[in-house]
Amino acid sequence: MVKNRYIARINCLQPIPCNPCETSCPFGAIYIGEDITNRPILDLEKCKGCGICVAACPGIAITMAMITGDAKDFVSIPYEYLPLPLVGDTVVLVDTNGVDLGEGLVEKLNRPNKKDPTTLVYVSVDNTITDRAVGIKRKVASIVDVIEVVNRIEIVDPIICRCEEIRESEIIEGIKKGDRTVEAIKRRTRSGMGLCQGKTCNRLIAGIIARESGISVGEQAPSSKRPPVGVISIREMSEE
Amino acid sequence: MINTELLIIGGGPAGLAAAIAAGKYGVKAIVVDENPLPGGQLFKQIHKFFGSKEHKAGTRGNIIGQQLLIEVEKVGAQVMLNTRAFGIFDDNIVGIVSGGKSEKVVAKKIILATGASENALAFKGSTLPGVMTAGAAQTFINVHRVLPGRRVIMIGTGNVGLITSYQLMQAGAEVVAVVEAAPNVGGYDVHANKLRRAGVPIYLGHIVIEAFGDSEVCGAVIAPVDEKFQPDLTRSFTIECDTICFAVGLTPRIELAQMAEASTTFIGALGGHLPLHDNRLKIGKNIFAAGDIAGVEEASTAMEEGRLAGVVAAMDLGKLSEDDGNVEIELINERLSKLRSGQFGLKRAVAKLEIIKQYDELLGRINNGEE
Repeated sequence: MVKNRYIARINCLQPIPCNPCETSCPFGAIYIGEDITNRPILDLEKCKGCGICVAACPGIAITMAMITGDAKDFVSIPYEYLPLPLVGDTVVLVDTNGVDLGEGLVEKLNRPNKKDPTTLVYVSVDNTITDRAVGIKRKVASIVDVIEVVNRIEIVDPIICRCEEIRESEIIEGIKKGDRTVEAIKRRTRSGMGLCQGKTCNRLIAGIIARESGISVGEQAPSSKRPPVGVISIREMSEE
Repeated sequence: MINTELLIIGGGPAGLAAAIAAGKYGVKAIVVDENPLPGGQLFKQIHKFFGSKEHKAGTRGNIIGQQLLIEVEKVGAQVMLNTRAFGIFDDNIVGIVSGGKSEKVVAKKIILATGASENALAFKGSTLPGVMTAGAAQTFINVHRVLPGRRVIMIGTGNVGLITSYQLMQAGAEVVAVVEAAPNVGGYDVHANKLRRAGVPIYLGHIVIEAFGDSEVCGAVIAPVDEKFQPDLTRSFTIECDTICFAVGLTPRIELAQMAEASTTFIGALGGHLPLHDNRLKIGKNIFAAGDIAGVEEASTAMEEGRLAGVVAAMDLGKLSEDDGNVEIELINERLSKLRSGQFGLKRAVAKLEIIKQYDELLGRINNGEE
């Protein structure tokens, strides 16, 4: 085991197309290769614990640890929330599920990429939690009060087409009468003929047709489109 | 009337990348965008992108947006903002509305880069104030720097839902629940882990069945579902919130492609109904589709598709030789296939091939006089 220096610990378990850890490492310590969905492989000997890959990883999936052999180890954890902890602060370390592991003392802050705000927080921790400490509990600015509901409104029949205020029951009524396309519902109810031209409701209506009639969204013909896309005034249209 | 060699509709990652790629070979493009700012969704994507170096991996979306705008200016493309392309008519004529009046644009080549719009959900109370799409919440916090609320319930665990939840916490909100109907997280584990480390509960196999409140949303009723997604109301519970976000997928904005008489197909993995295109993103003789309109993926892929359409447009316009163009196309296709690999990307790679296959079959039928 490498002792008394920081070593990267990579917690990247899925084959996602990504390799900034490999290309950012100045020491060639991380290997991914041609196929960028390969999982990174770390060369412990080459890793100098500089933290550049930690700040470069889009997934915040790399931390660092220094094993000392004493009661106190050190971990370095990327942190992207404000306010940042300060040197000398006590922070709570968490595991990968956000479970509290106990406190640690902030020893140092570092931003390996000065142009980017991702900050590495170096923390001394009890050696019993070194392996599991991958996060720092976020400081919550203030406790948010729950809004007290005075007159609870239950909207039983939601509006589907907001522009023309067409409710779900009206669409279901149309389906009962034989409508099987968004176009047919539009002709019956005016749904999709308002300001947004169906951008919100067309997909919802297709979903309701699928649910009520069994004809999947993919089997339904898309609604036809004519100019204008979106709303423009007649004045705009007529002035050249 | 405006005459141009290349009109690009949509100034997001695909549209801007197309303008740059074509502009490098001397094509003077016009980019129109209905929004007051260019960049599409890039400027609210303040997270670091995946991919490799040539995809600008590790760089935040808003920074990539700035870089694209500098390059657009360098190649001399004209970007018309607050400008809506309202229709495509015969002979490559596009109607636009800009500055209170309409104008005809006659373009030799047209690239549609209109993107996609977010899907909504409908349940009891889904129209209460405070219920919005994840993209709307992202615009609030990352573009306007305004918190839409303090206690957020996110519906959907695709990357949009996971990333937006993280960013809402970075902006100072609490994410009190992430609700997912499916039994698994849809997006990348690394994104979900950011939420797990922050102690955000992720309710898999659950749906929101009701939002309630008086003048605004004050809470949601959540229930577990069976394998047919039917909720078990006897096990429902309530979580208080002041914001509910939908991150339940996107639908390609294909209206202009439909007006250009492109044939469409339905591919669920790519967002829904899509225009058929050939292996160079052509949906018609002089018209291309690039980015989310040609299948919902992500911004890095959209940029590569924009480049592909831009290069092919430059070749068609005689600004770039077949040989040189083909070399460029090969490089773009290599980068695209890298982005479409792995357990998440492969489905999209297969779906994109399906679009091209259907296009070729249609072309075959037309050539045989069958259609």
